[in-house]
Amino acid sequence: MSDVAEESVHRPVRTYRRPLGNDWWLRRRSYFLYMVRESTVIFMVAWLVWFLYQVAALKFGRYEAPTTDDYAFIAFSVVCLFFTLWHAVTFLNLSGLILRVPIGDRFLPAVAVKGAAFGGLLFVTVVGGAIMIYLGYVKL
Amino acid sequence: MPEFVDVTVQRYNPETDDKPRFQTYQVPYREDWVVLDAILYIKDRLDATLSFRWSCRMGICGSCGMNVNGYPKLTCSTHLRDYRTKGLRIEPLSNFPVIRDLVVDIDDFMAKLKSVKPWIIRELEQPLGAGEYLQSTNQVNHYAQFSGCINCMLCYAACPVYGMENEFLGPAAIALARRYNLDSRDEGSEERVKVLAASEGIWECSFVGECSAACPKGVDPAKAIQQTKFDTVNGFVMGAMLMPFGNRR
Repeated sequence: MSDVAEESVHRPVRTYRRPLGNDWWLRRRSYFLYMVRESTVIFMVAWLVWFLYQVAALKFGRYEAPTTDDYAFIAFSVVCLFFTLWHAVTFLNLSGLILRVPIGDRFLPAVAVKGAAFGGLLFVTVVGGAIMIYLGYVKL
Repeated sequence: MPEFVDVTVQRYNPETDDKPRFQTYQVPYREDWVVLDAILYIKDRLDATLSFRWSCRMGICGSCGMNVNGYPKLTCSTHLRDYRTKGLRIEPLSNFPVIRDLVVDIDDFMAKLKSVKPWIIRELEQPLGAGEYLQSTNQVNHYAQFSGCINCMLCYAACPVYGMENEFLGPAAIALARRYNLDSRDEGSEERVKVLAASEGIWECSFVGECSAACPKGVDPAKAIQQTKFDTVNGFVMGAMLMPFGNRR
């Protein structure tokens, strides 16, 4: 078969490509939850921006510690903490699936990898929290 | 009095249609039928112009993949009884150009599949007389899950990343690349990493995870992609950055 003839056999006259559309993430629950998971980073970034602003304020002598009746700040922190935990849990839940720790010609069981990941998060949170509370207490 | 099911099918004739349209057929309901049986009934008894792909009818060849009520399915493994009350809407697989009715153009997928060299690569082939390349059961288990891929492309149809960025290498091609990278007989991972670690490769994936949900064989392409990401970074850091002359062979 000549190249031209082969081309005419294998190439359709015209094809139709269905556009995905901007609302694709609303079509399935799993797509929606994926978008929620990805959006959690917005709150993490928002809190970090606020934190950096406070550090800058501290440097220039304009820092004012948040008070317990600052409800807007408390609400902001709770929302950010919720989405940060959501992000951390969804991420670490996958650690057992992704990380393969070789032991001889086998691999460490996924549940052990996941346990270590969550254990590490707990350790860092407790130790980090204790250091921050201590530093706040002694008012360095 | 036989019971009937309404089956709505997407039709597209490139010679006469600007865009697809839908046509509804009444198909007799049978408890033991799969969706492919209903489509074959339409083709045989109601409308011989309907075009679609199919072959083995037992979930092996991977050619009868279609969107059933919006979800990519192998129609030979999807029972009609599960849609008895809901009705059926059959469309071609999403994210692929439609050639005609339910037939999609698979050239892009075939090119991507070939680009990852899904076969065993040896630096030096042993002569046949030297015998087989032996593997332990554990060595087989490392890649067995990823070897189940039947190239049905349901994972591509489920992947919104591929829908938005057609350059993306895609789930099945990466899963098959991983299958061979994990094979103890294979020595071609350095050839594949050039394709896998390119910008259209593993890094396009943002882990929606729908490829694994859609896979009829439990291959879990999302796992293959994330593991490949980790191994690629690990290989780069441990091999090229931390070891003297690590990026040289």
